[in-house]
Amino acid sequence: MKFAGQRLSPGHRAGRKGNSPEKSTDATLRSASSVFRLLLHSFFCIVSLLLGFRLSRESLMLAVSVRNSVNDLGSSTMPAFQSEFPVAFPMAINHTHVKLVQEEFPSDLDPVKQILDEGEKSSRVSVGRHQILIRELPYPDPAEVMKAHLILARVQQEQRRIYGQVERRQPLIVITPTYRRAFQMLHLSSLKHTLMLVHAQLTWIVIEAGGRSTETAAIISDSGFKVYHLHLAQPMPPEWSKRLHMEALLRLRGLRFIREKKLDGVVIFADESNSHRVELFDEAQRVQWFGALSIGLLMPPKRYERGKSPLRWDILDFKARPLFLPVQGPACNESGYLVGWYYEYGSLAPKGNGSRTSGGFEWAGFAFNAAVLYDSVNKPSWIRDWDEWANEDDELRSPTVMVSDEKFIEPLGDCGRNVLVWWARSEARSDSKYPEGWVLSEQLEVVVPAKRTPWPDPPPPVAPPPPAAINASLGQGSHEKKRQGKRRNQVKRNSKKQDP
Amino acid sequence: MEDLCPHSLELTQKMDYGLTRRRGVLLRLFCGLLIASLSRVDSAGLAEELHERISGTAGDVLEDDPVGRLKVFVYDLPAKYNTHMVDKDPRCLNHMFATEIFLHRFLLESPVRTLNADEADWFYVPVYTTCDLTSNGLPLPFKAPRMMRSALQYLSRTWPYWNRTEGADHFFTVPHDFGACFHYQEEQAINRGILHLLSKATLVQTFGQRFHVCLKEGSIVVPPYAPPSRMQSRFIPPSIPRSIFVYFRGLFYDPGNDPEGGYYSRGARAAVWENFKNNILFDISAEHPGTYYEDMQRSIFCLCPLGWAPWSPRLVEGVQFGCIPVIIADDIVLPFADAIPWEKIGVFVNEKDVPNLDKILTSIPIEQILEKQRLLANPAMKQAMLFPQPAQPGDAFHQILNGLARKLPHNVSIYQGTGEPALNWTAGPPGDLLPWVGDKDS
Repeated sequence: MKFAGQRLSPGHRAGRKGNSPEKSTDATLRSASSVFRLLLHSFFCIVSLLLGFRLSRESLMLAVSVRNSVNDLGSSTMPAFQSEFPVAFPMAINHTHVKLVQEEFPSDLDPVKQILDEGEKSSRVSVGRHQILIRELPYPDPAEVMKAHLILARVQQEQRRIYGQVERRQPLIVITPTYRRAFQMLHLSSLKHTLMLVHAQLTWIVIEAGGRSTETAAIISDSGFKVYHLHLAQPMPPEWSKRLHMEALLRLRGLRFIREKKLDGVVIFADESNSHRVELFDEAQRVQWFGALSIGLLMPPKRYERGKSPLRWDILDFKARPLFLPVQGPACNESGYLVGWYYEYGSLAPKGNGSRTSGGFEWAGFAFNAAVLYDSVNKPSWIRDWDEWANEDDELRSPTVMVSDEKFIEPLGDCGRNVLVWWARSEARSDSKYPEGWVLSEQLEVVVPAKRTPWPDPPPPVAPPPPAAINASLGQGSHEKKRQGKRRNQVKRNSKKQDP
Repeated sequence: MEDLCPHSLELTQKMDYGLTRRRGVLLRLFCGLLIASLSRVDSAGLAEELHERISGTAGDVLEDDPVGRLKVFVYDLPAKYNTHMVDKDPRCLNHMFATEIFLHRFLLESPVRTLNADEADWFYVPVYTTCDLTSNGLPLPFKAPRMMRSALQYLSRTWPYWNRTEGADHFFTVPHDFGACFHYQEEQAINRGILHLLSKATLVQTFGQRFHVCLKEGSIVVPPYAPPSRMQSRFIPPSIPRSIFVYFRGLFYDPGNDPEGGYYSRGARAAVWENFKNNILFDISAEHPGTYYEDMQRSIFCLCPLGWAPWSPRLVEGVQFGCIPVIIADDIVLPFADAIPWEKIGVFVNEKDVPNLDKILTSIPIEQILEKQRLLANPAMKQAMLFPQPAQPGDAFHQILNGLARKLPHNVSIYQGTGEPALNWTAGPPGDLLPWVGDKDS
């Protein structure tokens, strides 16, 4: 690459402007031709200055049009120019009238062969003005684009294979607290599908509040990996503010199960309403003892805890403290060591040895080696024993109760820069009704009759009623549900008839 | 090869004891070395997954160590030929012709340097010919022939070694556009030809084009200087997927010097632009992005077309960042061509085939592309293109020394006057014969 201004020496500039009338000479006329060339050069210079365009070009177009058919670019008949004055062929002066190259793929395009061609004794390269070769349709060929994309995909796959490997693969243990409610099917089944995509050996521990139910069992049964369905008899309290503690108790039940069974792997807390990236499960396998990662908060969890609907950030959230980024996670220094925490209202510096500043963080942002629950011999000293911290009466806001000194926690996900899981909890009211298992029975009936109801009168029976109707055990007594499958126009007609 | 080893035992038994003792030991030593080298190759197979070993036409010469294979005597020329030029204009240390300065500094500190000129194999003449810069930092080579003549006159007066061989065992660094032709414009450079006084010496230059006047046989072609720290501070993780197919940033037309096009880069860069400016696979533009190095690391192919001269620093950058160089320069001679198998690493495209560049690149088999990337990932390859300070093993300084070592031993005819006429000190254009005085502009 040359700098553009390189050739802007004063004498040179003037010389370039009225460019020489390129004429071919042979050796004998060399001196005469150089004199002639000089004269012609100055003539064209002056005339161009007067006329305002390059006269030499136009005159040469005439001269060249004859010559074009004879001379070829870079032909082998051109002599080696070690000893001769270089011949500059005036080919395409105006680059819009360029010679068009044939569309078909030349056969001698094997790039390797050209370099190894030993037979050439003279150069194919000439000094001077060359054509700018443009093909007829300089637009991308879709077949070529497709091939290029295949090449890109293959190269990226190779990159992933070589550079993107997880250093060691560990089994994962996923803990999910749940309970029967309207949104359970939504959350739990999507979590199940996420877990089915993970390329790791997975054990799923689902702990249900209020006893094991068939609904939950139906959702988690066909996942394909090992699932443990545990329960606590105590039901989930209807008040939002008490649910947090109940969830912590459910998780604790799961951890106790791991401790009893001495399961192996990395423990991840995947709340059913969270959205996970598959990379989360790759990152979690890098945990040695205790790791922390960033979670995104698409809704304010604090509101949920306070009992308000967590559906959106509100001005009330900003009143107390200004909002920074809706992310909770570890903060590191340049060397990659954990120096503090970051949560939705800013950064938290560690308060000193022994105190936990990440007390209010979500469980989903932490992952640890299951061995710390039961292996008191090998686990590091900065992780407390089970008996010390696993007390059900305590608050247990986040799993960092297990850790006596936070600075040893390993930051995951490129030191917390990659947000791999999002907290976005949407729930229905605690007293909302839904069909059990979200399977509608055959016959639906209007539950609450109203004066101007869009529902039709019970139609005359057109077919014998189906044999078994599943009785949904809802709180409100047992109504027979009639099928709502009337045609629209009939509905409208019937409703019109009923209008007073 | 193992059958040679039991053969040695037979020899020791059959032949005379005193004679074969030495020979058998030698053969056993050879076998031992063979086995040791084979085991070394096996351990290298572990790294094969990430990169492949570069085996040039001369073997794994990139990793040769020149220390002990040659001795270089560095002339102590007056400072006006070298260090004063740098002191006057320190910008010389950063431009792409800084090779001459850094090679001089390297040789002064290198273990191959000898202070005893009588035992030296090679003699280095440190003349900084490209340190005469204009106000915007571009070197003017007009005074370089005079400077070189003046230096050689001083040399031949002060030391006898130049006259002994007329420079056949001397080497010079001429990193300018057309090497020792000392002009930036190709027609003028061809006119001048290589400086007559240097016609027997070895030239270390960046310019390389076959069948060209300004590349003489036996020259060592080196990459242009690029500050290694500037490139090495901009690495991104190799796991970031390469998502650009072809990448190029630079001029396509040179409006200042070649407004109509066709002269600059022999029309090749303009052809690239006209043919592929609408092609989404080609990320080409004349803009200067701040993420140039990062973008190269996200590309599979990086175009390295010729400009005013066939070489460009893009080759060095492409090798550093693992981007396969697509070299569009007919008859170019690439750096260290006898040590690095460039056709296995890069893609060569004739200038007349530029309109079909997309077909060419997409029709390369994927296995070849992956292998080229593996060869580029070899740290020896990246190291060989750089001039780091301080020098590191395997870098371009060492490759230059390796090249010089491969030319040893000298043909004895250079020491005897063979009846050829001595170098004509008055050859060349009359402007060259003017004396050159360092500090004053003359």
